[in-house]
Amino acid sequence: MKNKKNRSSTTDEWQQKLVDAWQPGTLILTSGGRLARQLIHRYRLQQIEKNNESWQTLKVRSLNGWLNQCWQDLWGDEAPASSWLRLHLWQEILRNDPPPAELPLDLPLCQTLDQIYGVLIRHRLDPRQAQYPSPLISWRQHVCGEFIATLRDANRYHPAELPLKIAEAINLGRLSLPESLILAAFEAPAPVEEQLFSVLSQKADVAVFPLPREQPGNVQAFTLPDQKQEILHLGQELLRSCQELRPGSIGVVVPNLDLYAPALRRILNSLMGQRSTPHEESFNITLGTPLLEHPLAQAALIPFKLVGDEEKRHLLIELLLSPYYGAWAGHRRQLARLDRHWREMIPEADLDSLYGKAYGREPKLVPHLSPGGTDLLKLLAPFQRHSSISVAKWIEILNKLWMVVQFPVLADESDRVAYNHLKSTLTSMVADLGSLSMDSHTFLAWLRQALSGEVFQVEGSEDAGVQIMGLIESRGLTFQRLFLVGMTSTALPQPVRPLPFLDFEERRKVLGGTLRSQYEFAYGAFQHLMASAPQIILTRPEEMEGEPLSPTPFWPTPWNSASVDFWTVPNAAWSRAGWLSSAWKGLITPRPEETAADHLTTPISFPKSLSVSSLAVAFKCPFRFLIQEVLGLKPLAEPEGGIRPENRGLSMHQVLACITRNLRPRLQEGKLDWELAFPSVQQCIDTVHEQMAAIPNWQVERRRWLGKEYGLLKSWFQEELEHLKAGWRWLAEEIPFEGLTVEGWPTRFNGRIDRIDFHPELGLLCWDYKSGSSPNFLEVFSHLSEPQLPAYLLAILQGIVKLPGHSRLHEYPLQAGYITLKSEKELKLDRLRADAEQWQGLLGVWQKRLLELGQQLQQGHFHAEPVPSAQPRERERLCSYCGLLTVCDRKNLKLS
Amino acid sequence: MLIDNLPDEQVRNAALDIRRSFHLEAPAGSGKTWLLTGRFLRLLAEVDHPHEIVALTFTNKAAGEMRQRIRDFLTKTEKEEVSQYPYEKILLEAASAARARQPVHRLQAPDGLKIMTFHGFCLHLVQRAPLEAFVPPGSKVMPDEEQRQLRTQVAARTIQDLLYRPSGDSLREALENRLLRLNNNWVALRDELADLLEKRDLLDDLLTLMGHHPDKEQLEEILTGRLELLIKLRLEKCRAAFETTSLGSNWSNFVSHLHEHNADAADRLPEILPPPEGAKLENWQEIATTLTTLEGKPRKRLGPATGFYKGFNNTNWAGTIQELSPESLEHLQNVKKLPPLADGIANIDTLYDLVLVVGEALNRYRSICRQRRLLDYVELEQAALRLFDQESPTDLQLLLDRKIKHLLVDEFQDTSRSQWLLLQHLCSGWQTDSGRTLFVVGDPKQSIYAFRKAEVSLFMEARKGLPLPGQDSLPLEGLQLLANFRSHPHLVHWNNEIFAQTIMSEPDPEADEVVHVAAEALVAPTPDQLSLTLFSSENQVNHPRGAEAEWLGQAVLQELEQLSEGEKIGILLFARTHLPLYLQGLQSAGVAVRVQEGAPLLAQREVMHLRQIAHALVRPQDDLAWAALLRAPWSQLTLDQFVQVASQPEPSWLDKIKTSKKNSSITANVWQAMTKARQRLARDGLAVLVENVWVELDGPEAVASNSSTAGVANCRSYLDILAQAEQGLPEDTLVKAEMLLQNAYAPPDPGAAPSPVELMTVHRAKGLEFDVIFLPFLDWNPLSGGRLSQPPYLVERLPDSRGEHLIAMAPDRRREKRPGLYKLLGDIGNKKKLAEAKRIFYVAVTRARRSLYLSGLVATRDGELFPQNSSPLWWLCNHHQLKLSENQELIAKNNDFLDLYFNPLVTHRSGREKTGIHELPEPLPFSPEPLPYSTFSPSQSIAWDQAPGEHKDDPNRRAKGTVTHRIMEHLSLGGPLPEPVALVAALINEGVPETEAKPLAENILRDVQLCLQEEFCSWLLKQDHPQSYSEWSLEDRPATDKIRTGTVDRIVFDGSDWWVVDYKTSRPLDGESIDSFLERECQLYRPQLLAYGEMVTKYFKVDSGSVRTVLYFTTLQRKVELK
Ligand code: SF4
Repeated sequence: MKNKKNRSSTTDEWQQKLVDAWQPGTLILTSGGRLARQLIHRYRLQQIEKNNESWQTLKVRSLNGWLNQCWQDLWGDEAPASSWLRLHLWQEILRNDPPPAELPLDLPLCQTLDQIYGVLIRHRLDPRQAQYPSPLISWRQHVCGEFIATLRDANRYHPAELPLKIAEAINLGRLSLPESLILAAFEAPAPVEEQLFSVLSQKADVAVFPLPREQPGNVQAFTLPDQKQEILHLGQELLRSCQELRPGSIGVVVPNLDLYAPALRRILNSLMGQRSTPHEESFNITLGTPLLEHPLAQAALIPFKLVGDEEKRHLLIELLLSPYYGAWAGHRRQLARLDRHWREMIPEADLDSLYGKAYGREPKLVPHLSPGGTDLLKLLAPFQRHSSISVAKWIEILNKLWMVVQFPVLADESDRVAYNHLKSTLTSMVADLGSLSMDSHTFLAWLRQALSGEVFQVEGSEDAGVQIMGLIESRGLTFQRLFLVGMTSTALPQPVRPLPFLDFEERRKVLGGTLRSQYEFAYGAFQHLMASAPQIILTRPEEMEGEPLSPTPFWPTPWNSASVDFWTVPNAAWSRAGWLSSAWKGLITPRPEETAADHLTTPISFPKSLSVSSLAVAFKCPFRFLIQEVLGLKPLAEPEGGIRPENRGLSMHQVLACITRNLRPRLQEGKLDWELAFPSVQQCIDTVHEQMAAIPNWQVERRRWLGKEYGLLKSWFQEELEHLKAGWRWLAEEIPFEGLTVEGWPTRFNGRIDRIDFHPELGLLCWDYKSGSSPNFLEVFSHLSEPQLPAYLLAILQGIVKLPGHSRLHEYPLQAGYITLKSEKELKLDRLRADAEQWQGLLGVWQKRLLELGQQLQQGHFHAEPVPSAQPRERERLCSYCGLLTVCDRKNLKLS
Repeated sequence: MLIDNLPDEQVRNAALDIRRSFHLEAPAGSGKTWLLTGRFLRLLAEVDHPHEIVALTFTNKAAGEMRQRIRDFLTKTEKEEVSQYPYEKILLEAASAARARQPVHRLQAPDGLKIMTFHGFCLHLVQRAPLEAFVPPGSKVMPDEEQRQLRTQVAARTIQDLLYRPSGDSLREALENRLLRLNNNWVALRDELADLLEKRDLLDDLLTLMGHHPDKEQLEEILTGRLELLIKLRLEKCRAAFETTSLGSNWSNFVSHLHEHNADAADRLPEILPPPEGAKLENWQEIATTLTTLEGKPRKRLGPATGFYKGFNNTNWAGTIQELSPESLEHLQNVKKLPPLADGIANIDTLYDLVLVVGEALNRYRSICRQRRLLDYVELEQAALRLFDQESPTDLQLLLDRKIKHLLVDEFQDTSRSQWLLLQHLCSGWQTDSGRTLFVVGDPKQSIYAFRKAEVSLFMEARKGLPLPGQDSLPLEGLQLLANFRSHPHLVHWNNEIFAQTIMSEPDPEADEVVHVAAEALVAPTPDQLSLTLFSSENQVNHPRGAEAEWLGQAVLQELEQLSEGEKIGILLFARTHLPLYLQGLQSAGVAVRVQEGAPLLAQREVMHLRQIAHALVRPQDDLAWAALLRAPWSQLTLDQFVQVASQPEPSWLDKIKTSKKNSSITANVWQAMTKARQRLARDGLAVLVENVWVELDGPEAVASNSSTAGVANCRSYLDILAQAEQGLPEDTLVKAEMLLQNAYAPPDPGAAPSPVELMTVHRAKGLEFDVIFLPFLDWNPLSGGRLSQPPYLVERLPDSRGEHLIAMAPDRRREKRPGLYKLLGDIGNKKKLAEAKRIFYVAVTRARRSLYLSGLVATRDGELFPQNSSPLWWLCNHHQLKLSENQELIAKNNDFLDLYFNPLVTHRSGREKTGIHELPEPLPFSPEPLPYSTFSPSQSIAWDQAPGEHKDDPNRRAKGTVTHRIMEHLSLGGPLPEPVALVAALINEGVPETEAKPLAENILRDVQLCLQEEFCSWLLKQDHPQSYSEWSLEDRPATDKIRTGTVDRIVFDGSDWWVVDYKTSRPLDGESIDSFLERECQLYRPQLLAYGEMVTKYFKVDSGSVRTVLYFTTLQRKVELK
């Protein structure tokens, strides 16, 4: 490192005086732990500098730590109520005194009340008293009264009361105090603390070290267009500062740290890299992660969620693929493939039916679903329990499950720390709530609450690396250079807290409850910060989500505008970012793109047989044909509610086939109407739907087909009757064929014709059923984009369509059409208004087109350009339904 | 006078009078901002507390700007700045008076000045009084995307759950009916429900109506009655207009004439003009269809085929038909569209089904929101309104700390009905001259937010004063600004002409059309450009829209050449969907253009590919995602190689790639990068993993190479979305990211950052101004598009009514065409849409300061132009009576300003050279900072895990140790033995369950008492030693970079020896002999104790021989000295 300058700040001198003032027998009390640790660090460095071999540890404690110790020394008979216990007590009280206006009686409400109780106590306000009681506040008064009584009965106290308790003990001489005390950095003490300090100063030798304040001195201030830019700017400036200064002497204070921390962490990781050993540090963001957000905790909760209301398929896959569960290691990839089947199910699928599907489709994989031979469903069964069991029992069940499924597999320090926290959280839950009974839903709520309250930090050292923190933690610290980030008028001072449980008068007395208190607090903090480093850099975004922001009133002007534009003004700090340096290479020397992306040089071997619908795909887009039909690659199905269109179509086909088949004898008898046909229609639906009869979605579909007075099938039947009146007869249905040869194609095609009708004069009519929209005349005859019907006719002409009792089908005149069954409104039997001759002509053209296409494909040209003859809009529509865009990589497509 | 020499100086002066309430109409560029600032500052100088003033806006941007402007003036006066401009002087004076009146913290605190959006204000109220608002305390407003997602989830869940109710259940029945009406389209029903949840405040009208009339028949009667009323209203108008025509006034003669000539129509037409009643609708419709064509023009063919007789055309009566007034023709046309009464409210049962299902979805949605403490905008507004809905209305003073005395509302034309109600409540009880004022300002011509429920009619209604609950309206003095400080005079004149004479002439109140008032230009003229360029939509050579886009690119380039420093060009679009097209035109011309919200991010090629990395990582089963990895711009496997991979026998693509990795370096790289990332999957954030894979495959390089900086920025945006979506579980993260992606747009191209050209929608441009405006796609059809093509029902307010609505249900998708009433209401809705389109056009053209370029496509035939109906171009064609000359030039009859071009030849200019691509500088050095020293404590050196299982399973072991140590310390300081109950409390505090604490306390106490009886211990705890210390903390430095810290339980100097003692509370394992226990423990703790001995030796600088290290076992009351 280069010559790293060292200049001291006023706070630095203040800290030094503080340390100098200490001698054995003295106790320094600080407002926060971070200052205490910095003082110890300073003292140690001093000892090292003096070359001392051994010394007494500097006695410095945060106020909270000291108060707790004092309480222990008192050996009183009351214990502080843990947060668990308090929540539990609140819950019990609220159960008897439910909140008004049907407010949800849940843990967050209990927590809010507990916080409010603490705030009032800290401000020496009686929670049972309020001058202007609204209904909400009256209720608060009442439940707080209950809370106090319950605490008293249980021989417990609320931690907010501790300063007063200690003050009282000191007053009564029940506590022996250190020889002397130093109070450091207590700038805005709460009334309970003020009371304590006044007692302390009466009973002991107390020196007060208020934080130094300074008017802004060596300050630079920059505005950046937005928060994102501000963070980019901060990243690069920190890196530049590290060229001159020791990283640990650079501070960053961000009043709204939670708004900045995630992005800042990402930026600094990409600029500074992650640390490689535990003995060094790049940066340290003092903002722990709630345990609930740790992936390990999230993974731990899956079994609970899996039996709750949430979507099962998704969670089951999440469980099977989670690396934290060792039981499935080695089989994950195979198990994941089960999801391909599961996705075809309707989303209400429960675990049983998911299992059922797995048995049906991939029986070999099913044993892997049972860790250690235990059926997963059995393992999860206890979590389904709605009756209550004790918390201790819950945790026992959970531990048992974890053992079987080998949870957790720990990979690193972060996992280890998280797991330890998880274990200790569970232990303390047992200690505080062990005997409490609850159902699985409530237990999950408690567990979530517990995990979200447990905040921990895995990495970062306060002694090295750039120090990034919020306003409160920065109190009393000193730096060589300080960045104050997000310095807008809404961050410093902060807005007044809403405090709905407090009345008008109470809000006035509470810190943060009024404009004045927020302003004065922030002003003080700003002045302390000004004293904390010889060089200070302020930054702020000009706007947030489109809203222009003003600067903090404490530094109204001058602000210089800055921006980070590493594209036009490359800078050495950003050269460190891997993605940028890679992108830069591309900008300077563009590399050529492959051109013939849809051309094969080695001919591909086509499958021996393909379906006629594959041929249709080839016509729509040759590339899609290659990928989907030849290589068999399909997008993962997106699970959606309702009936999948393909299933609807399939069952519609089956039902129609069944109906015509059953009714044909009646037809020959020459008498057929809806009344006569109805039982048969009903029976066909019942037969086809047998499997699905219990599924409500299918029951609705049945109604659509066969409504009370009308229905799709009745309308269809009326149309059919008209058709029959014209002399047509249903000849056969679902007529399979194989071995259709097409000139120019190495492959043979197979298919199944939905129905063939016969007319003594007009010949054969080949029908295709459509449960959605049908192609129209133009598409079949002019655009030549729908090869299905022509292919069927071709098959008949080639004599490969065999009907028992009809050997020479190809000798009849041929026609074809679509039967559209989308809705009654759109129902039609559409003979595509062409006569047999026109069809003959068309088939000639078709064969030519097929020949061309076949040759083109055989030469390896699989153009990623759907239906070249259709409109651009149509092409885009096809592509947006295709799903293969990322494989064909079709350029110039504008999907909106 | 404060302000002189303006056409509207009196108006401006009046508007600053803070004792009066006003309704101010301020057209574009008229300087209303200045007035608002001035008024606010003057109020600040008068009120006791700033919170007595509330200024409401509709966007955060507007609120932020107003706040900033006021703060600026306050800051300027703090620095005693002066100004030579009279306008500024006025504000500076007001600001300095405000500063003198208010303490600094009130003016400077973030919420000191209550300038907020309506939503912000509602939240403020609701947070203060959650109970009265019926909202759980601490509720937060959900981000937009989350609101959307939650609505869709709830809709889906509701359908699912209701379907599974037992058959016969009324809700299931209703749901099935609904599904059936949608032709059993599940997705359509889900979307319909989600949409209704979003618009549930509009649904309220319906629900209230139905709530008041639970009886179906009664409701049907009421609704039919309303339809009858509408028919009557229309017939009245029609009759009134028709009677004034010569045909109408001689109607009976006309019919007799037809009778005389045996014309067929005579039998169909009524003898006398029928009265305007529903029952006579058929007669009126007969009149209309007999006399007019389908399009509503007077019939020209008047022969037997149309019901007349041969030769009728030559009579005078035929002339009277041709001479029907436009007004009467319009009314006759309207009458044709009226549905017959019998057709009225087609199916009341359907309405009930819908309400049942939506009601259920709504209950679920509300309950989830309450549980999660989330609010959406509708709930927020309704919650705020509930505050005023109490039996004893909430005391606002208690709620807000201060009574509101002055309200200012900006952009008042964008007020929605709930906001209008809120305003009424806020002003409830106000009287004129009570010292309270309301100041609303806006421009009805700029009301373009109907999709956010803005109702421009409220602006008009407010002219009559603000209606107040239970009292007279609060009168508002109407003011109108005229001066235009923004635009060049030609522009202002042209605007005045086209809007007053054509586009906004004869406003139709039923469609909420507004009046245009001419503005007066105050800006000095400079060279300008006002042009209209049209392209033939039949252009066969090129895509016609492509030609327009190409022209646009070149025209912008040309303007850029002439642009002065600091000037800006805005390209405004009527709809987002037009964006990719024009962007392409601009890009191919080489114009660097800033697009705040570009095309959908999901449609960007590089993002599509980057997204596949995420999919493949999270879902090994997604074959397509894995296959796509090989075809991304950064991989580019040839098709041959791709087919080769595909032909591997493994069923999954993940395994195919694994097997193929030896065959190609690309596949190997992909496999390697993915494997590395998969190892950390579910432990590290998905964004980080995807980025790692992308960088490792040189993705950024490939993207930059193909799509320059814009492409890289798109990818960064996607990565940001992934990071934002992180949930801790990969699949959850991916699902959330996909949801966010649905509404994400491409960020501005960083490469275009310094460009003065911006591309945006007209909506986004509202409130902005540009020197030059380009407005393409003038042939935009405002009636196309829309989210739900056929909403489940339509509601429209009955014209001239007090809040009475007509309702029409959408047709049954299975069999119905659009029923008459649904069509009619749809038409009314469309008229409103058109009226808004006119205002959108107004907003667009008034953004220009100096030049305006208009362009679009037009169809032509025989020199005639056929612009898209109801498009802005259609209005212009009508106004200027545009035609094509023989040599294909545009000619206008009525044109003083516009330059006209038709199919111009585009001359290509060379675009901007790519600049700024230099070598990237060497990266700055950085290495993590070593810690100055490491700390450790001697107890860390103990090998716990190797020690035998010494009561490890006893969860209270640690608590017992801690409490025992504390007692020993306490005793050594001369304290008495604590009471058992205190011990219990201490143990509980250490996490011992209450039930176990008591026996454990007894246990500890017994041990300690025995210790006190033991000789060494009782000596040790004495206080009269020459020197003694308890729980004494020491540090030393065994190596230069190490600090050892330790706390010794007890140190006693007896005059010759230093006793260093560590208490142990462990006890022998079951069956273990005391000796072997002691031996084991000594071995375990030896390093720790010796370290303490060393530290004490060093600290007291004594001879190590005099330091005696001892373990004292409290459970055995035995000491063991370690040598
Ligand atoms: S996305 Fe379009 S071009 Fe690509 S394969 Fe599918 S249909 Fe063909």
